[in-house]
Amino acid sequence: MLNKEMLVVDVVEKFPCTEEVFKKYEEKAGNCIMCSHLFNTLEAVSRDYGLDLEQFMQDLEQSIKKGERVIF
Amino acid sequence: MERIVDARGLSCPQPVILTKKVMDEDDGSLEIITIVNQQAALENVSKLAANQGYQYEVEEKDGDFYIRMKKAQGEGTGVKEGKNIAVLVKSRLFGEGEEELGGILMKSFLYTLTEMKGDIKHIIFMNSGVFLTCAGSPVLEHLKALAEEGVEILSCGTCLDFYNLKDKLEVGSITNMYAAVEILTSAEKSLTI
Repeated sequence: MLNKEMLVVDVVEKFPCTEEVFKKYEEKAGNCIMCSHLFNTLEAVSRDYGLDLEQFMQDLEQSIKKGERVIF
Repeated sequence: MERIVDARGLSCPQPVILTKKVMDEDDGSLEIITIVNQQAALENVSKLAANQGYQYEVEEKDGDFYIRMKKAQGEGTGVKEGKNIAVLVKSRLFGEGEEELGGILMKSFLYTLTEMKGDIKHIIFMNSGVFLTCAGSPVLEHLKALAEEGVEILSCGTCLDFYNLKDKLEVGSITNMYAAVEILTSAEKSLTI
């Protein structure tokens, strides 16, 4: 569903429900991820903020699986 | 035809998402005006415009930013002057041959780009090219001058990691293959060095 090369903007555009996950991670990042890293990959976000990439992607995928509407 | 996206008061990424929806409907005839009132939104919508091949201008009125975007369609369209050229630099040296000459030519090349005001929109550094954007590079001065002129300087994140240079990046930002390919394929012209 997701891969680490996807850009944040593409993820939130296709899966609006993931905004909540990004907001949750802002506390850990100490910064607004969707402001500063909107055009970066998920991998770059996790690298720049020292996040656990695997857990980050799992959380995003879980929010998508919860049945939110997908917008293409 | 004019389409206005009033994104004042909306937090990221909504201004970008709303603008992109209008861009997806644009057959090249639209002038899209997105209004924002936050710096981050201004930067992100401007970045979106550049990535999607739009020419854009920003006007500030009473604390609001009006970003006027028009799809670049080449010369003679009445769109803002300046071409949209992307440059891919895939080595720290210019061409093959003696290393010393390669370094001199690269310095000369990047200096020449600083003279092409308005035409170069992106310079993407890949493989050993990323040494040029990092501390110790002999061309930092030229790259910083280009960045100040509005040229987006981008370095490949995988390459910076590979060469252990991530903490030494001095100019521009980090990109990835996906974004780089999008920039190169949407540019009017692209040069590979």
